[in-house]
This record gives sequence, structure tokens and C-alpha cells, in this order.
Amino acid sequence: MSPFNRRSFLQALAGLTLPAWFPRLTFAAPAEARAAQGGDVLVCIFQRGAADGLNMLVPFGDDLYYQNRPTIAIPQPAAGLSAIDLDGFFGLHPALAPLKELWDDGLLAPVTATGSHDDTHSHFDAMEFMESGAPGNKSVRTGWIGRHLESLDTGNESPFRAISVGGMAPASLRGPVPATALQSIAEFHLEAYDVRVKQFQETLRGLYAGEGFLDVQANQTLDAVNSIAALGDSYTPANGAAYPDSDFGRALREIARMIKAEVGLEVACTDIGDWDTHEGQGGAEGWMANNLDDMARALHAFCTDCADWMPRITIVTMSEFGRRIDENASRGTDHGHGGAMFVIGGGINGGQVFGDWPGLHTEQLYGPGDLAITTDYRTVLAEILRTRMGNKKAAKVFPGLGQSKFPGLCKKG
Amino acid sequence: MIEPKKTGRPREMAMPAAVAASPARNLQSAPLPTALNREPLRYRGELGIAPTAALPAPLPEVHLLNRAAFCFTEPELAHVRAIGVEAWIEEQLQPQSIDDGAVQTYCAKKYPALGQDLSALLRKRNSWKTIYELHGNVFHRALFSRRRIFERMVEFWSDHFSIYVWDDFGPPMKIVDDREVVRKHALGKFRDLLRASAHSPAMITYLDNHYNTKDGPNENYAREFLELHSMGADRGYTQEDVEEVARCFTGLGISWKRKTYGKLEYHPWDHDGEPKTVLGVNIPAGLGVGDVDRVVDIVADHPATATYIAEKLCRRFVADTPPQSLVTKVAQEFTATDGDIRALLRVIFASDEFWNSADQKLKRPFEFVISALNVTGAIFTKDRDESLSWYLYLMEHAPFEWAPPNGYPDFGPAWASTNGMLARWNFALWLAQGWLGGAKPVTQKLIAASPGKSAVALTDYLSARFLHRALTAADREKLIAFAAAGKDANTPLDGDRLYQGAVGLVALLLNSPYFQYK
Repeated sequence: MSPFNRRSFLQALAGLTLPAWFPRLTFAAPAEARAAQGGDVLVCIFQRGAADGLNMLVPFGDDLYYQNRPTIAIPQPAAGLSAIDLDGFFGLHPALAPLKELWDDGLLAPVTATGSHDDTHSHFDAMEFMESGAPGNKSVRTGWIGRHLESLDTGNESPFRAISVGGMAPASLRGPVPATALQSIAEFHLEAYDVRVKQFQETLRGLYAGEGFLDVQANQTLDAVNSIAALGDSYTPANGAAYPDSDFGRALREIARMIKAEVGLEVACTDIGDWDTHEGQGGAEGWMANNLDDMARALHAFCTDCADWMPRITIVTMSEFGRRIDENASRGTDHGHGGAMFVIGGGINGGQVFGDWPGLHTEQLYGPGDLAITTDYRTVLAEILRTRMGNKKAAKVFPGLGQSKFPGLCKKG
Repeated sequence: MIEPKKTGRPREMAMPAAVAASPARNLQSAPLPTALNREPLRYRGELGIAPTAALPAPLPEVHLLNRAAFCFTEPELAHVRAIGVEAWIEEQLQPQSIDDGAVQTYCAKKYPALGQDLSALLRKRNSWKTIYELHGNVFHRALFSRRRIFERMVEFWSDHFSIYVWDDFGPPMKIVDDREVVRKHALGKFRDLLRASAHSPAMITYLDNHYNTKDGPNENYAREFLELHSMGADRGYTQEDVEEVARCFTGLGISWKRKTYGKLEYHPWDHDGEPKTVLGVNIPAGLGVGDVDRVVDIVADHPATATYIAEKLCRRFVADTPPQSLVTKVAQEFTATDGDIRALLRVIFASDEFWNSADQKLKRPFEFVISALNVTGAIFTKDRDESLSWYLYLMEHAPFEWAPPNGYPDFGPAWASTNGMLARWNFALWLAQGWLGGAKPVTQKLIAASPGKSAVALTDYLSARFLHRALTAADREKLIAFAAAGKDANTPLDGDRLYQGAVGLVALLLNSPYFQYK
């Protein structure tokens, strides 16, 4: 039995014929290289579990916010743990402090009162609708990113055109263009050591020579494994960026690495979980605050790490719905409607809050107790796809969407 | 006393030593342990998994065991051939008639927690460790029990009435649910199963019904009861029905007293005793907890339930896109027999649709692992349950660890993402290279068992043993060429070339479409 030998494994791989799109070994200045390719890298972050937009993007200028949340509201900007003032009306949860720097640098554009117009309060249905991009319509079989990739011909056949970092691939990627789902770059390789790797791969590929779904996925897997092998063993974040030691921190670190490796990445998806704060949500501190801390530190590290690339990266966060205006008997919040999105990037007109604030008077609410939606989340995404990703068919990506323009959000690509 | 705690696998449940001791890498990153795993892909039909070019079909008894059991074994294949398919199915549908003594003895001895009282389990320190007994019971029976259809149906209902084992109270709740709800009624009547589930502390706490009171209603269980457990989403019930069912379920909670901690307890002061209307049927005032039984009966009688359960069974046993003709037949049988699960299975296993559906399903990770261990003859000398628990966790299919109540997905594309494929391929490579934690290496034994040691002989022996089906001529040539590595295909191999050839063949066959489809 030959001993474990990673070097010989890589040497064996060197003999493989590499496709045309394989990473270039010369480095143009990163932002220009992406501009030459014609679009940003889009990073989609899904907050799973219905994140409370009101405690993320705090409407501290609205008294009713405090009347409805006697114990879990975020205090108005003051000394101590309180909302971080953005524009005199809205503030950030204090745990999102790392994002203040992005706001000051004009990279962060929060969007208030946004989400999916479908009124379901079921996590499964709402995630399904948000990811298919067709709320209320159960017959749409593809994801919005899948349709975007199909409708935008970039001549890019890299297996990394679209990736997801985490477990099962998200529904938003579903479509004719295969995506690569991976847990981490370091572990995305074939554990084949006591076997002739090159021939093993060729034979395995040969067994999946058909055109069925499994054949496509098998070939995609092999392509991705080979490409990642060429990335090398280690990665050091630039500019002293310090990612938190969490799943989300690690995921963003992998995405940053893949962006900088120039392997043809166009869209990257990952999740940050555990936002379903029915009980004991906490206010400026507590359960949700801890999640926000992780999220903000990871995003800040990513933007630091990719500082040279930020003119050509757009990050967008979303959640399947928001949470109710009022806190419940368990010091938490129940399922709601409107929530908040964050859009971050060098091509974004940051430093201002987008979207119309609908107000919290009873007659202004959606249903008996939810924040109304004044901006369809798809409008935000369609604007990004058109202006930053160069997809002229952005409106078609979202069947039935009326308003696909969100003026002012993005700088011209 | 255990305090309800935040969800997620405990940090103490780290990589087992036996796994860490193997040379394998790729063992660190496990899926995000969030409270709500993403619902990856709601079933949508056409994007199914079937091969475009037909592979040579497996023998009927192989197809039957691949679907009705977790895998085929040589003795079981021989038994099916001896008594015939119909007799075998009938025998399996009366599991108590099948002598399973060795398995029962082993499990009773090794997994005592599974027979214990709920309150006693909850009062134990470190009760989270009972997960290994819960998992072990599943693994051991999948590998060795002869009550194969029964164990398959336990898996099916565990997915259908899915409970996240790492919810507030941990494994003890699911242990009792497994015993009193799923295993008790897996081959009985659906109505009884539904009723037992509605009285299960595990289900009640998992879906927050213990917080559902007259003054503070909580619809979570009522909604999933209709949407996931019986009628199916949007199939004849309204939001009002959800609220009325929630009213019926108020007061159905658990005991917080030490002696009866966690057990079902009805709280009449929390119950909404006024009249209700569910699916057009009036439920009079004053029935108390009897409201729950009324709801169970109304819903079990509803035609949507017959259809939904029929669909799910056909998806599990026939194809990702269940043929409508069969779904209709099974739904009719459901109505005719008042949801007799055995009767439904008889219809499925007798149908043309079932017998014509070879390779229309993809093995999910659990059955892939079980069938791979079986055909290679893998034996664990220690820590089997801890190791398999870890490997399945990496493949996102450890029993009872799916967080949302809709259960592990039952269609191929959900499992065939690139990391899903890679996880399977690597498991097969570890198995072939002798790197499974706690398991004895298999490949030298397989070489010894092969009648010849040439590339041709090895390929033919291993493919026959693993697959019990023919390869296409082209695929057979590819495998022989791999094993021969440039030498003559009919000359016996030796030394490194023999070993590496065999390792590669084992992994290639297990990773091939012939073994991935079922």
C-alpha cells in the first residue's frame, strides 16, 4: 500500500488536459480583469429562518417601533449599546458595527420594507418562492439565478460560473446551467491515493457519458475537482482581513479565495442561519445580536480581503420574510412580512437607505401586525442583474414582475 | 433535569476517534448546523434522475430488494428465488412471522435506552449520548434485520413524520416516538399512526404545540399536521381550517413535573372548549382533548389524505415522478381499506409501474452506505455506530437530523449536487482503500474471493457481486482497461498493480450509475 502522498496526486493531475477557460496564470489588475469580462461577481447571502429586519435596520426615528417592542427594541443612538445612526431615522443594530465603515465608504446600501409579496408564513413555501423568483407560483421549476445564468451568455463554461458554499445546493441555482456546490475548497478533492488517479477519473467520467441529470452532475463534479486542485493548498487573506471562526466566516473566505483565483466565478451563494427568533430574541444583546455580530464581522473581513476587487463585487442579503412589529409573550417575534436587505459593493451607491418607509400605524401595517412591503425584493435583484451583471434580460428572469428598475441603487457597470 | 436548550448537534459529538485515526482527509467540514436547514428543492417533477440511455436491467428480485429493502444480500436473494416474489412480499408484510432473534437480542442488549421510560431518559445527565443508541438501532437493523420491508417503512414514516432529534429536549423524545408511534404502526393503519403522532411528546414539543393555548394560540403543529402529515399543501384546507385545528389542539402539552417530565399531559385550562368547524365538519363544545381525535378522524377520512399518502409512497418506491395511474390505484385502495398500509404496499409491489421502474430512483446516502457495506462484506470491529453516524452526517443523511418537519428529500436532484456526488465517491474510495474508521479493510478479501486475478476476472467477479446486473459492453471494456493498466487483460495481475486495480474497481463500481441508481 503506497503511503498517503498528496504531492504525487497533484503531479498526476498535471497530466490532464485543461480546458480553455482554466485559470490564467497571469494577473491583470483584478478590477480591470472583471470589467473586461463584463460583469460583477454577485454574492447572494440568504438569512435562513426569517430575519427580523426591524432590529437589523432600526427605524429609531419612529416612536411606534418602541411602543411595540417594550423589551427587545434597540435603543436610540446614545452612549452605550444602541442603534448606530445612519441618517437620523434609520440605524444599524450595534452588533452590525463593522458595517458602519462600509456605510461611511459608500459601499453599503440598506433597503427597508422589502421582501416577497406572497403572504405565506410558511418557511418552506416562502424560501421556495423567494428562490424561484416567482412568489405564489408553484409551477416555476427553476431558480432566479439559474434563469439569470441561462439568459446571459458570457461565453463562460467554467464549472464555477455559479457556486454555493455549504450543504445541499440552494433552489435559486436550479436550472440548465450546472452549478458547483462545495463545503470548502480544501476538501473538494477525490480521496484517491492507493489508485491511479488519472485513469480512475477518466474511467469514472466514461461511466457517466450519457446526458441525463446524473451524468451532467458527475461531469461537473469532476471538472470542479480538477480545477480546484490547481488552486494550490493554502490561502492567506489580504490586508489583514480576519474572518470569524464560524461557518459563515469560512464560507465567505472560500468565496473570496475563488473570486481572486479568477476561475470564472460569476455568482456565489451561501447561507447564514438560525434567524427564527420566536422566543428570547434579545435586543442590543442576545441571540439575534450574536448572529448579527458573526454576519457583520464576516462581511467586513470579506470586503477587506477583497478590497481591490470591490468595484466589481456586489453582495446582497435576503431572508424569506421579516418578523412582526410587536414582540410576543416570549420576548421574541413571530413570522411577519416586510424585512430588510443589504446591498454592498463598489458599484453600489451606498451611504443611503433605499426604499420607502411605510410607517407603523395600524392602518399602515400589512395584515394585523406586519411591516408592509414597499419594494419588491425582485426589483432590487433585477436592478443588480441589469446594471451590475450586464443582463439585459433581467426583467424576464422574474416572470410577472412589474417594476424591474430601482433607480439610483447601482452605479452604471 | 434537562433544560430545553438551543438546537443543533452538541459540540461534544465530535469526530469519533476511529474515524480520526484513519488516513482519510475530508472529514472536517460538515453541513451548516443551523436550526433550519434549507429546504433545497421542493419536488417539481420533470427534473428527475433517470438515465437517458437504459442500462441493462437488473434481475427482478434484485430490483425488488433494492427498493423494498435497504439492499440485497445473497441469502435474501436466494430466499426470494426459492419462494417467489409474491410469497416473499407476503412474508415481509407479516414481520412478526420472520425470525429476527439475533437482531432483537443484539439491539436490546446494546441499545437499552430504546426501551426506557421517557422521564427517566430526560432526567439522565448527558442524555444526548443516547443518539448513538438511536442511530445504532437504525444501522444494525438496516444491515442485518430480515424484516426488511418493515424497516423500510420505519424509514418512510420517520421522514413523513419527521422530527429533528436535536430540538429542545434531544434524543430521548425521538426514542420514545420511534418506539410508540413509528415502529408500532409502520405497517398498520394510517389513521392509528396519525393519532399516535398527535399524542407524541416529541411531535408536540418539536412543533411547539405545548405553547398552543386558548389565550396564546400557536399554529405551528396544526399547519404541519395538515400540510405535511395528512392532506398536503393547499389541497383542500384553508387558513381558517389551520386556525380551527390549532384551536382543537390547544392544551395538548407535556408535563413539567419531575416524575412525569416530558410525558404527554393535557391542560384543560389552556383548552379552547368552544365549538369548532374543521373542513366543514362541526365539532361540538366540551369534548376537551377529544377534539384531537375528532380532527384525526376528519382528516384521515378526507380524500386529499388518501391521494397525498399514495403519492408519497409511490415516490418512495417507484419514481421521483410517481406515475399518476399508480397513484390513483393506491389512493383508491387507501379509501377502500381505511388506510391499511399493508394493502397499499401490495398494490405498489404488484403493479406494472413498479416492475418497469428500474433505475428511476437515485439511492439516497443512507441506503448507498448500507448497500456498499453489504456488497463489499465490510465488518466493523469497533465504533461502528459512531463512525457511521459521522460519515452520514458528512453526507447530510444521518437519521433524524433533518431540521425542518418536511423530512429528508425523496428525489434525486436534491442529493446529486456536486458535493453530494463527491461525498459518495469519497466514501466509496475510503471503503475501497481500507480507511473507514473501525472497519476491517475489504479489498484484499475481495481479491482473494475472486476466482481469477486478471483484469477481466476481477471486473467480472466484482461487477457480478456488487451489481447482480450486466454492464454494457462498453462500460465493461472501460473497467477492464482500467484494471489492466496497459497490461494484457487476461493475464493475472500481481503486487501493487493487482491491489491498486482492485481498489479502483471497487470504488468505480460503487460510484457507477449501476450502483447509484436503483
